[in-house]
Amino acid sequence: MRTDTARDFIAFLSDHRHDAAANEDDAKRAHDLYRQHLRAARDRHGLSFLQPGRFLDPGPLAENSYMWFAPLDIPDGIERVTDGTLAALMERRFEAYKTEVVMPFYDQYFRNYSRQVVLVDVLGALLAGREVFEDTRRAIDAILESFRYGHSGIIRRLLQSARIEKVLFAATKADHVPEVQRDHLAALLRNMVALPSLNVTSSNAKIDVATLASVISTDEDTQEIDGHRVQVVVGKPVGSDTRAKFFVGNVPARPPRPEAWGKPFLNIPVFEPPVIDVSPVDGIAHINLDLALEYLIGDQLR
Amino acid sequence: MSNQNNRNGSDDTLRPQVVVMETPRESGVAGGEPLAPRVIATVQTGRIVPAPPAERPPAALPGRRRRYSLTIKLGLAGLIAAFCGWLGIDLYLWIASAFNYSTGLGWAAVAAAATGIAAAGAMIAHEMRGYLALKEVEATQQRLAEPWETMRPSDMQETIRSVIAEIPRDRESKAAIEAFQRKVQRHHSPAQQIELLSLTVMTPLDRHAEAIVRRAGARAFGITAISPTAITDALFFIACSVRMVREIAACYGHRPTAFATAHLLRRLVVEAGKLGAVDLAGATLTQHIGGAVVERVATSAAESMYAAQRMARLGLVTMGLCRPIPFRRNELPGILSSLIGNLFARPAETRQNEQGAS
Repeated sequence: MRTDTARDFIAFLSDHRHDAAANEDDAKRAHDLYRQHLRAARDRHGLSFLQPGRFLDPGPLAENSYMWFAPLDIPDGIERVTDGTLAALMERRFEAYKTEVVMPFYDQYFRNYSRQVVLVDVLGALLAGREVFEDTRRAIDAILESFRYGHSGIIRRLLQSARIEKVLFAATKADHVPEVQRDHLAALLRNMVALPSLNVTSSNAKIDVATLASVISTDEDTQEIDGHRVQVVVGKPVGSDTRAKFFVGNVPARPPRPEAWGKPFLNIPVFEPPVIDVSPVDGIAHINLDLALEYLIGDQLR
Repeated sequence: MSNQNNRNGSDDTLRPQVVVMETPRESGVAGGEPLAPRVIATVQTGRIVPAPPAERPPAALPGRRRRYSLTIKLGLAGLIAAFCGWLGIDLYLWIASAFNYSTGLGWAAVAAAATGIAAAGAMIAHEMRGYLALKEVEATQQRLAEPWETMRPSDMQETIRSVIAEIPRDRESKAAIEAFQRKVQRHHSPAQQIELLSLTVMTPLDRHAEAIVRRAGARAFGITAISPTAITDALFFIACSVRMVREIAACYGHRPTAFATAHLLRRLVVEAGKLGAVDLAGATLTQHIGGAVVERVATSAAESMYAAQRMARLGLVTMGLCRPIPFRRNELPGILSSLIGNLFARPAETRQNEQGAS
């Protein structure tokens, strides 16, 4: 799947060895091709473990030359790259990227956080097929390895090195799944995170799993398909004049066996939100948003 | 499906055999399967109108914590500061006067003071650990006071972990915990899990606690019968009660330190006060029976029965206070079952054990 989207980038690598003389144009070209590959992998196949994630949406950082790097094919056994080569240029920029972008990002946003919510598109991963599903699992694994979990005592807080005490894994697009299958969606996510979250729980941090939709954009309905009356959701897809019913299929509580995976389905509709009252007395209809907030910060508000 | 018969004998149906099944067709999650995901266009127009939120049962309000006013807090802090200051100054003067006599005596005084402070610190830490463990159990009880069906799985798992962590690690409890861990399955709902925990792990502890109550009841009965005066009667009763409370607390895995015991006794008084009306009826009945029937035989026997009943009542309330999982209606042990039922059950069990051993 990745080979398909990375064809141009791989062709470039075969033409440009790591020990070729450093060249600004080549570096930029490699970077552009690599970004193109990452975007295609996301948009065409639904993959999510795409590194560096900043390449997908660099924003104003895209203009900085230290962002213009890409992985190169370096044979095994080479510990240090030679100065003046393309590999040395890429390595220098990668280190600058870590120093200028990654570390400040973690420092500014995550240093003092003690609660974390990880939004996982379980439905998209499930429908996109086995490879995407496994890719999502790897992404969750990598996310959990990027943070420090455990109990933050007073001393740790004073030292500005708080740890994450509570993590909520939330399966998004819960409103795309009929209510009868939402428990399965949560169970599937629980299964996906079971292994990577072992380290988190062993660090004395708490973990929970929920299905989540911040705005319910669908309604429940039924539809007869091949003689079966099945539960569907109905909504108005963005850009469409008429409503459409979405049948999600069978959401299993556990990952399907290898032979049970079907053809990838990537066209999950994006529904328009409902008309929202300008002064909603009862709030905006959602799924489990209140429970998620209660779990994450409820104790801090009491 | 085809059946590969066993050729070893004629009676195939009752012998082990291998049944070869055709590979079932797996239902996929996507693709060309009949029930694959799909988007079906409709002719309806307009956005979705959100359904009104479903009515939810009101969430159980957390128990109100007793809060002391700022004045009381400052007053207590001031008293503690004054006491510590007085002790510190006194200690300093004492050490200084010892140094005035001789350097050796001064250092001996320093060593004695340091030992005393360390010992006091250790005792305070021990008391605090016991007290905090008891508070943890009370927090667990408060969490489980809500309907189990409405609890979140993560809260329930945390509660189960904390309950298991508190239980004493004797052989029977370990076996019960292992039995629970064997029986509990992923498909069990939180309510089922806690019910299973209560059945497998709590039941042996309840039996021990009931035995303690039974012993305390018998003790109260005997002491009241032979006690010469009302004052000794009361003193013995209080001593028996304190001992029973400590034993029950230890049975459920608490450290019955002085502070924890005092806390338990305070709660016991409050809970017993709540049950005063019920007890009054019981007392009246007992006194009436005592007056009408038993008094004719022996007045002290009626008083002893009453004392035993009061002790059993206190014991059952203490069990309710110490048990990490609150008693459900059908689990609540009764006075008769605790005092009389088990008296009969005990010899039967003993006989069974003896027969088993022989």
